[in-house]
Amino acid sequence: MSRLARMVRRVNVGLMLMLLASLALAYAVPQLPEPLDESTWPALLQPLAGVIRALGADRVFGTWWFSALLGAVALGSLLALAGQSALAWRRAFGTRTPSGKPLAFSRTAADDVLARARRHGYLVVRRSESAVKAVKHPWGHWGTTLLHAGIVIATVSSWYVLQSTATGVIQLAEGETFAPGQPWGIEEGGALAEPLVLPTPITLLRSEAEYWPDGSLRQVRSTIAFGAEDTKDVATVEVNGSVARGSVRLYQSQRVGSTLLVTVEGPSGEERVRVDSAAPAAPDVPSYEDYPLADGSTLRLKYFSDTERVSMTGVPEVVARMERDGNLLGQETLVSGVGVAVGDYEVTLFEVRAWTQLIVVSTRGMAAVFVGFVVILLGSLLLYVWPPRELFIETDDDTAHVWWRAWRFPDVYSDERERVFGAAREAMTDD
Amino acid sequence: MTEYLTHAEVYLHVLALVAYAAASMSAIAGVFTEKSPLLRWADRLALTGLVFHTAGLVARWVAIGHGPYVSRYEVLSANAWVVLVLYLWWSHRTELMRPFSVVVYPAVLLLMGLGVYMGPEVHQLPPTFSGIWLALHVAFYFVAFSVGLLTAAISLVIVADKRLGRFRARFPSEIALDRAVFRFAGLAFAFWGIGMLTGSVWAYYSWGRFWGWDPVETWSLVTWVTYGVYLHLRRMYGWRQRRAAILMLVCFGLAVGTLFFTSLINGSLHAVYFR
Ligand code: HEM
Repeated sequence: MSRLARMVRRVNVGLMLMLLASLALAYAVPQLPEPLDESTWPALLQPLAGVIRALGADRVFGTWWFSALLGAVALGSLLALAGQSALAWRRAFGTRTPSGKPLAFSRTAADDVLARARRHGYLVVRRSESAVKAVKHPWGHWGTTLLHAGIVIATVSSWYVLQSTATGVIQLAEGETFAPGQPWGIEEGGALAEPLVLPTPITLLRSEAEYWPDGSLRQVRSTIAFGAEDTKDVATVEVNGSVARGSVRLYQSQRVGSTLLVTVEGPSGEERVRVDSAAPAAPDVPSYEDYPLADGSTLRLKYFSDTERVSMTGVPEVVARMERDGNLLGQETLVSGVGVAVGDYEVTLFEVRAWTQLIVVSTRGMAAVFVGFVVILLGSLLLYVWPPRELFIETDDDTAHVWWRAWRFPDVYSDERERVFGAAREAMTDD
Repeated sequence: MTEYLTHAEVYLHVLALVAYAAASMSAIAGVFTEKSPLLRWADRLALTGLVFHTAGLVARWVAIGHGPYVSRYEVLSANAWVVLVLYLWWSHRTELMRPFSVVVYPAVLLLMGLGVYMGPEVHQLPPTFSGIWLALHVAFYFVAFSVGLLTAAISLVIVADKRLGRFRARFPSEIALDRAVFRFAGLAFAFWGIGMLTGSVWAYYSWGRFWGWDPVETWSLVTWVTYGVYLHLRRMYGWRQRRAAILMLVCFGLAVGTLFFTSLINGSLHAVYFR
């Protein structure tokens, strides 16, 4: 074994322990973009804030050392892979006589054993004048090789995907359009991500939310038009039903609500107000949204999904409340299209529209990640579900020497071994 | 019909619990009194419980329109079911597993009991809960957890060893147990890996990201890598028996933590399941 290979064998568990330690660290320390404010951290961590920030322990997955650690795991697996595949090759295709003491049979008894083995799923992988090698699950030798190859593929490609993915969130009310280049509500991108730009404008034509009888969300669906106003390109996006256009894919988020369009006429003039109120948690629970008015007072809108308090999709009820400096100026239920006096103000609810959020994602390399996962999985199954069992028969004039071995977990397959040898045992010669 | 099935489920569940309780007592009595007929009765009772349990799961599935993977009651009950089915299948195939009824039946009872304690209220499916990837994701975690539990049961006997006194002789030799732990740990590792894979495909379809370092995802990876550490140590560093068995118990502890505790953490996407 080369020195490098030996060293790699030695560091594998060390690298895995370091990986575990970083994951535990990322769990213990609140990760950005969680609260920046250290005062919200667990008390134990607060005195360590300086060290935590310097190490990047508050953003583990974005640090250079975490990427380096993943790189080392991938490199270690890659180097281990070389030795493992050479070993698998020798075991799978080698013709060397196995070590260990064989059983000796007459040739016909040995033929019998081979026939029985084949009935039990052993495949003849080598046959020459004097030797036969039959293996059950011959591909099982490639278990560790595939497993570590999968780890390499999955680690490298996951890293690439995380670095190259850009995500943007837009919030639209029905009838609203989001144009390419407009700023995103929330935008995140990896170091290698290109700026996220929509290929065409998108207009939310309709947003629908379905609820279960108990008021919990069942499905959210948006009908979207891509392109100019008179476009024919209309598509539906729903949770678990995304839509792709150009290099981006649109996902339906579960955030929905009602956009309340209101005019407020007060002592210092009229103000048009738009409030995006989140859908309440239940029909009998309101949601609240505050809007600071130009004159320093606050308009608070209380929203019930149903005046009857039984349905999430009933006739909504909106209550306006005016406050200034913590003092209540007035509170009144609004009536659509009619001015209602609230303290010194007249508030008119002139429209209610549905709003929703769409998540826009541009990503590359996902296929490689999934290929990596499938290879890992295949490797693990070969290792632990389909380990190879081998029958090797060497014949001379009238005797046959027979070796049977399970490359892994021989105890588990001792019954199989007995079944393969079966009655032939009685025909054993005294070799 | 729905109402009838909902009622039937309650009775079937209770009957299963009673049968499992009887099976556990019979298995424990069988081991301590060294009377084999009691152990055979334990198996029969467990099998009877399994019939009621299966019928209960099916009745609930039909009544509420989704499989046992939303509320904790359902998840624990389904886990108990998979543990028992795997155990009965394995103990039918290999002699080695048979004496472990004394650990497995009480564990099944405990899982079911905890489920009842959590409350059998029906939770409706959140919008992302659909599709084949979710079904595979959940199913493979059930299997991984169950294999992990059986592995932990064997490890427990290795660790307790002499403290079991004369009852130790009821179980196979330490070497045989240790080899079984190795194999089962490998299987748990494989199934846990498939659970993560299918989960990430599902997450990709639902949210446009395959991995988000959500607490459940992070701990799931920690558990998988720890199983990997065990397998490396067992294979290349000569870890055997007691030392290896203790690590295996740690692995199972992580699995339990990941599946049943991290999902309660606020801010976890998985918290949606157990609101
Ligand atoms: C850090 C880089 C790694 C190196 C250098 C490495 C090296 C090795 C080597 C040399 C073997 C023995 C193969 C044989 O005897 O045929 C092995 C086996 C194995 N490795 Fe790794 N490995 C690494 C990372 C990982 C990771 C991250 C995992 C999964 C979490 C993993 C899981 C396994 C498993 C399951 C086995 C098979 C153990 C058995 O024989 O049952 N390895 N590894």
